[in-house]
Amino acid sequence: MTNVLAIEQLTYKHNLKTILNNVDLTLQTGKIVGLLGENGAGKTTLMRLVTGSAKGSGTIAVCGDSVAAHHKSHVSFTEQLRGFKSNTRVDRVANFYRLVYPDFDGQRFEELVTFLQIDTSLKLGALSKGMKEKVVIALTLARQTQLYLLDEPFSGIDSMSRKKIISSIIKWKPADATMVISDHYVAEIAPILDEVVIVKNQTIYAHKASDAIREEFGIGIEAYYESLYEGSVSHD
Amino acid sequence: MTSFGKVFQVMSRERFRTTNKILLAELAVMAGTLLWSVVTRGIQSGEFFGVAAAWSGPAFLAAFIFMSVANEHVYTRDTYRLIPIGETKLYLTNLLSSFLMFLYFGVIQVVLYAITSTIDAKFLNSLFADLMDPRYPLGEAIKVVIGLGLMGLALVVLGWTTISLVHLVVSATNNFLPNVSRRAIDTVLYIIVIYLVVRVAAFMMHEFNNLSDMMSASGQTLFGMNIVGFLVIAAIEAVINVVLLKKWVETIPN
Repeated sequence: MTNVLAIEQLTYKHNLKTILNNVDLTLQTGKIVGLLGENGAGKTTLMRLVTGSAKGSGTIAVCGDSVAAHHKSHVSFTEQLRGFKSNTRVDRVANFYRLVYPDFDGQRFEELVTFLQIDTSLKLGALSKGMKEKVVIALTLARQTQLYLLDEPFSGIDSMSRKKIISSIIKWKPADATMVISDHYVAEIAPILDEVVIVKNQTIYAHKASDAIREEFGIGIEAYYESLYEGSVSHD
Repeated sequence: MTSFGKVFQVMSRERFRTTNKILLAELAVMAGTLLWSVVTRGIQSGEFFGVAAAWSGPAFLAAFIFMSVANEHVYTRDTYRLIPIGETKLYLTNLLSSFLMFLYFGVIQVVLYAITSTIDAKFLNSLFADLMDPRYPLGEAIKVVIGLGLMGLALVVLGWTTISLVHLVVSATNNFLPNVSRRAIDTVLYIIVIYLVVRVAAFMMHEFNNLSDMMSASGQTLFGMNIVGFLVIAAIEAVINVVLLKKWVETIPN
């Protein structure tokens, strides 16, 4: 298997505060990875550094390419559509994506829209939080890229919508693509994760395969994650 | 990577709508003003052209401000910054789409002038006959109008690059400053950066004028040199802006 993401010695400071320090992380292709950590741990920042939206020091290579501008072609990120006015209709947002992303698959977007029961005639400002997240997920997954970064896709969303989003992730993730899902709710996504990466103390505190956690510690991902924060399990 | 044409299309679409809204608002205000004249005292000679000319200024200002906001919006939103395109191309496409929409707005203003001056042709002809010096031919007047138009466009581009420079310098600097008294720090930063940019631009324009004097330039050459001077400063600012975008300017987090 080849590496889709290789991060070396990544450090990020903002407002004189170190958010991430000396981060090293390698992810292989074809995996679903849970990026876990408490609020403010640096999960979103790490994703933003990969996309180039935040600027840190160190090396980030996506699909072997370390040129920041090129990462955008390989990465599909759940951006919250802040560049659109609230009176922009969802179908207009989709048209924007169709135009600017050569890898945007219109057919796949339509399938996602049907599956997630999205009304594309609605304006962004009229969408509930859950519905907006579904739109963001549909747009993100409709791109055919090697790396998907889903930043807290379940925050503030009801359980039915969460289940729908999880189902869409399983159904539409290309086999050769890697998907990183950041969250602090572990229970619902745990069954689909191949690996977990835990961000703590400004760095990657642990990076383990889900199976290895179960075999090595005899506990589930959620229990492992919680025990790392409580300090009852030490990482290697 | 995304092509220049596609990015230009998405950037221009929203600005085209905005420009049309400003034009509609301008026409509505003009119609309102003329209606008010009809009701109160009746339409006077030259009033159509006068009303068009009077409302054109604020409309130009509104178009400039709305395009400036659209420009700056692009630099800090993931929606645009995540498009697979280099920062230089993104910056230039952004500037070009605003410039062409502003040009479109200007062309519509010229059409409005042409229509209203046709309506008020008799009044304007007699007015110009009184004002015009027989030794000053029409050709010269046209040259002045074209010159002023070019100067205006150069100033608009310089205005946008300067606004972006101030915005991007403050945005980049913010990353390295403590997160306390943010507003106060931002205000001080804006004042310092605006002061520095104005001083540097004034110095460069002074040097350009000196150069023209050294060349014993005529009025027309001096005027042309000023336009070139504005564009050179704008180009320098644009280069700095692209470097800032590449190295330090981050988007607003989700």
